[in-house]
Amino acid sequence: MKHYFLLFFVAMALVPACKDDDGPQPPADGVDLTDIPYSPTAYQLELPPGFPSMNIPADNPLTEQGIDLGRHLFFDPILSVDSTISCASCHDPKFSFTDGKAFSTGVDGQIGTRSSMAIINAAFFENGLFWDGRAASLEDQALQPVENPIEMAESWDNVEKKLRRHPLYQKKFREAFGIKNSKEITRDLAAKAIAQFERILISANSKFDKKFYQNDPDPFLFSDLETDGYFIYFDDLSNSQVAGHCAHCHDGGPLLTSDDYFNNGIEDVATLDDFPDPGRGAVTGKRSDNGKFRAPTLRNIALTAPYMHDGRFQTLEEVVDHYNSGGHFVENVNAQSIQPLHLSEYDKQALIAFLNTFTDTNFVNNPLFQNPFE
Amino acid sequence: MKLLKAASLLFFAIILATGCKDDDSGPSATVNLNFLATYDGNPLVFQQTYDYPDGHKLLIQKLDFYISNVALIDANGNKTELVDVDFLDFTENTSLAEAETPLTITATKIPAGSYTNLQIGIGVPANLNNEDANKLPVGNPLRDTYNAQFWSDWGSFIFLKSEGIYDNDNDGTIENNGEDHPFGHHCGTNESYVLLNFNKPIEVVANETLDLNFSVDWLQLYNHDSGMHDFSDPTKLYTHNPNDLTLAKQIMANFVKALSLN
Ligand code: HEC
Ligand code: HEC
Repeated sequence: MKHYFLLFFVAMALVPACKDDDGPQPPADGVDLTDIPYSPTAYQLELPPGFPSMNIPADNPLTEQGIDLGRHLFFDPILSVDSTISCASCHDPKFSFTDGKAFSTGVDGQIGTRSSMAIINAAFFENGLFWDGRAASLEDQALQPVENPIEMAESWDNVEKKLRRHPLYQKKFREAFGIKNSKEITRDLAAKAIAQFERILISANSKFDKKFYQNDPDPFLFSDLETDGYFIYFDDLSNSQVAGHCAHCHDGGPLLTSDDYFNNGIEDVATLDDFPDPGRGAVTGKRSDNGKFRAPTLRNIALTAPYMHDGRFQTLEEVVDHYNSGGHFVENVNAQSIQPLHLSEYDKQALIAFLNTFTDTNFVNNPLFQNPFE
Repeated sequence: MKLLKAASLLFFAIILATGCKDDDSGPSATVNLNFLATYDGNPLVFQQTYDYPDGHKLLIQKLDFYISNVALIDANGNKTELVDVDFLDFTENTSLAEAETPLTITATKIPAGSYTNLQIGIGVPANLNNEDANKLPVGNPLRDTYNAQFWSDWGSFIFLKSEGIYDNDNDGTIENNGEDHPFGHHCGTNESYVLLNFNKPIEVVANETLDLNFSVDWLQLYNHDSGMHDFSDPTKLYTHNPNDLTLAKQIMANFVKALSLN
């Protein structure tokens, strides 16, 4: 008996990173949680200027307690098979929720085939999540990494067991969702909580926001270089000699994405059947979608190198050189915007200066978005 | 007593509220608006090449547009709205089977009766054509297409997008080689809005479904009064300059030829 208590305390001390398979087993009929108060507080969501209304599923309203639980789950390696990998391992706030690598590393040092994506304003992306859009919602998405063999390589059955016997999570699931017994902790509630946390990861305080959406009165907020970059980005031919066509795919007002799928010409293939990663085509089954990927938001783009779904470009200079070259053509490339741009060195610098105005350090440093276990 | 009064008032209010609705919905019907895109009368398949009248080939990559203010009009000029605004995107039709299947917008509870005209606008009505459209409720077509269709620099939705590549060097293959001509006609801003009118008797019969079959012919969008659009002219490939909307307005105006109601 004593041993059990000792083990229990050790397990508690190791929270969250413990490999607690050997921890105390709760009684088969679960732990009664009704002594823990359940009074969820609605989260006061403030939509920044210019932002669209948020599509929140009716069965998963935002609450302070749900978000708090989601944040714990997001940063807790308990979701992985050997307690080494959390969501945050590949989505680190300091890289705007990416990992700074071309391909992400999962359990056992396994390397994936795609680059991690920034989780930023993700609540507003309604046309599918992931590079290929295969997840319909944040709830749906959050279920996937756990059982992905090269990411967390764990089973949800097992994660449910681990969470059910974990006093911290018994309490937090009770507070967030009003469950009466630890047995009611499920993957679906975990996914809901994670989704709630992700919905508040809103970035709206870059120089770009100040200039265009917050009526910042400072006339010198943008340098001439940044302003010229703006004209190129938005094809403003009354103010610029050259058009960059970027906004055709990365506009969306303050979201800086059209939230749509394109082939942006990075792959040199003979036909639509030859893409090493068919991207959207594998999801829709349409040949004409092969090689298309979601045009991601360019928010905090300066912080999320390397770039593209396979992390092929190390710097924004390389990205701009790619677009300037016109890329590689097959029939689903939008040649209207993916074509030689004839940018001068100055134009390229201007464009990159403008891309840098999307950087929002408030977002990256927001204390509410950091690891709650530290 | 007071309470009773209040209660009966409430009761009346409810009767009135629901009663009103009942009055409106006399015998009514469902109207389907079916839209097909065609190229010279044949179903338009995207990412395929077509023969342009000048003998060159064309690859067509995109066609989408908004319709709005769609209404049936009776002999006294009374309007019955079918659709306030909606978005039609044909671009996903990359096979013949898809191209032969119309995009359908359904209007329900349309009062039965005899109508003499149908009006249809192309574009987004001025009162809705602004940034605040993204604050509309989820499910509203303007809100839901905002990211892809609202052009911040113009402060306008793009009413029509037509994109493709013209085989300018006339070697029979479409390339992005600097010789061939990609084109992107993106038309927007309030001044390019068009309102069309079909003078045609339309019977809406109670409890039945009426199909109104529209087709929009791509070639006719480029049938200017001065002749077919000249895709070899490099100055006529884009409509991105907000200070020169001539071409954008011309293409929008061609809807009068391109859109037909059978
Ligand atoms: C091993 C690294 C790794 C781990 C662990 C991981 N992710 Fe990811 N994440 C990725 C990669 C790579 C992608 C892009 C994958 C793709 O497109 O196929 C991605 C994409 C996403 C996206 C899509 C963003 C968008 O805009 O579409 C979300 C949201 C996300 N992850 C959340 C999570 C959550 C929540 C967890 C924990 C449950 C998690 N991730 C764990 C690597 C990881
Ligand atoms: C035709 C649509 C299109 C146009 C035009 C376009 N992009 Fe992209 N962009 C994309 C797509 C799609 C991706 C993702 C491609 C992939 O990962 O394979 C992307 C990716 C990027 C990335 C990397 C994002 C990341 O998180 O890794 C940057 C940076 C970028 N684009 C900048 C630009 C700039 C600058 C311009 C204008 C010069 C531009 N884009 C024009 C569609 C477009």
